[in-house]
Amino acid sequence: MDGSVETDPARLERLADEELMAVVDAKVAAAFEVLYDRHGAAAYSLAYRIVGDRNGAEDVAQEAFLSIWRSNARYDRARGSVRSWVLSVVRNRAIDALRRGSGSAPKLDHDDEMLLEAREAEERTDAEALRRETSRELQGALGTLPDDQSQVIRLAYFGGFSHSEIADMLGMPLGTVKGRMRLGLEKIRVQLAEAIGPEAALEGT
Amino acid sequence: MRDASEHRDRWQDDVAAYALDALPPREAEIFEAHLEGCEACREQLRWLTVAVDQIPQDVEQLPAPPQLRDRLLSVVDSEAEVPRETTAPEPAPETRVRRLPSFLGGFSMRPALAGLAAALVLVAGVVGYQLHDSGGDPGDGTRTVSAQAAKGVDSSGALEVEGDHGSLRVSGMPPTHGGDVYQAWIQDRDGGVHPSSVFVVADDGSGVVSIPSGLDGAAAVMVTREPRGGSETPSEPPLMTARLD
Repeated sequence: MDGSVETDPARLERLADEELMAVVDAKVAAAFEVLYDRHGAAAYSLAYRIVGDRNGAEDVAQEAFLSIWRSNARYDRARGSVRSWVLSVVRNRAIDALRRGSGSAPKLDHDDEMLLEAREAEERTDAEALRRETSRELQGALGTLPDDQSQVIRLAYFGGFSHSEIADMLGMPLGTVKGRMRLGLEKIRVQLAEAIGPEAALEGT
Repeated sequence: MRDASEHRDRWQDDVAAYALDALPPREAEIFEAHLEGCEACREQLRWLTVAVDQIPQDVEQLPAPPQLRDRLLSVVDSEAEVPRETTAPEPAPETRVRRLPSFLGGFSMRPALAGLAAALVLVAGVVGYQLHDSGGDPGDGTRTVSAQAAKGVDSSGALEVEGDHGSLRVSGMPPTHGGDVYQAWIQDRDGGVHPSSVFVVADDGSGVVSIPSGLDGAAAVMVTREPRGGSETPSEPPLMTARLD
């Protein structure tokens, strides 16, 4: 950008995420607005998925975006896309909120297991998390995995549990938990490579 | 062989657990110390991190509460070096349609052409390829690659590449559905597909998107239609592909 910072909203809207981040770092409010409009819903949705209630999710998303704005969280291109980075910031904040026991009530929705959890959730317990991550209907990448693999991955990613905590919860050897994590992630990764179909797979690779 | 086997046995599961942030602090420290000196594990971690990044994409998508946006922008305006000059209109509550600022007037995203996406079949291949020098910098050539549209899509595109970055100019793109956007993707030579920029097009289907990085060594740039905000993996076969190899 040759030292000049883009502030024109119309042009900001057309910047790629990675370029936009440089303008956000320069404390241009309109750039932050564009960033939020692109990723705010995904951030809120992930926070809601992890903390389980709307107020808590709103707090988490707000903390995450303010940390991004105040450059407490720095974007590193090597880490991946801006979207992935924003969501990783949100995930970390949400897990922190869970671990703090923020006291927020679990959400109520059509999911019977969630209702069950809501009734019993005076505090968050491993058993509740286990029930939630065992019962949830899955779509997308995780939904294609065998249950035993998706379960350990969900407990780690959405529950913030370590592999040894998960081994205790499931009553299985640590090595089994770690192995299932690896097999599951490897399968997702291979599927990603194939996601756009065989027509787009490159010949000669 | 034995060393490689022992290495795999010792660390391969830790890579996955680490990628999931599931190693307890002490084990994470030990693994990070190992990681510093082990390219194989670093490479494996990079590979698996892409899978981890996919996990939140499966979460049910909800509209963020309007008050969250209002609060954030209020704080941001008060702390900004460059505050917003005009007050943006309130977003319609509970809407899933992307609010476009008035300055984009013509770039509305009206629902249309429903059902097109599923029927698209990728036809890979470069229609045209040429090299030319950029006028202002004769030593640093750019090249322009034509993009091939999928069957049934009457669109065209030209990808201008300069080193690791470039821009893709498209025309005749179908209108997006409410809230949807177009997204560019970079396919590497291993077949991996990485998300790049999200963009919208004008009413006449034309637009330009910057590809800020990742083109050096890339095999292709593709365009798909994606939900608002873009995706981590393509949701449908590409509408358009520009092959670089």
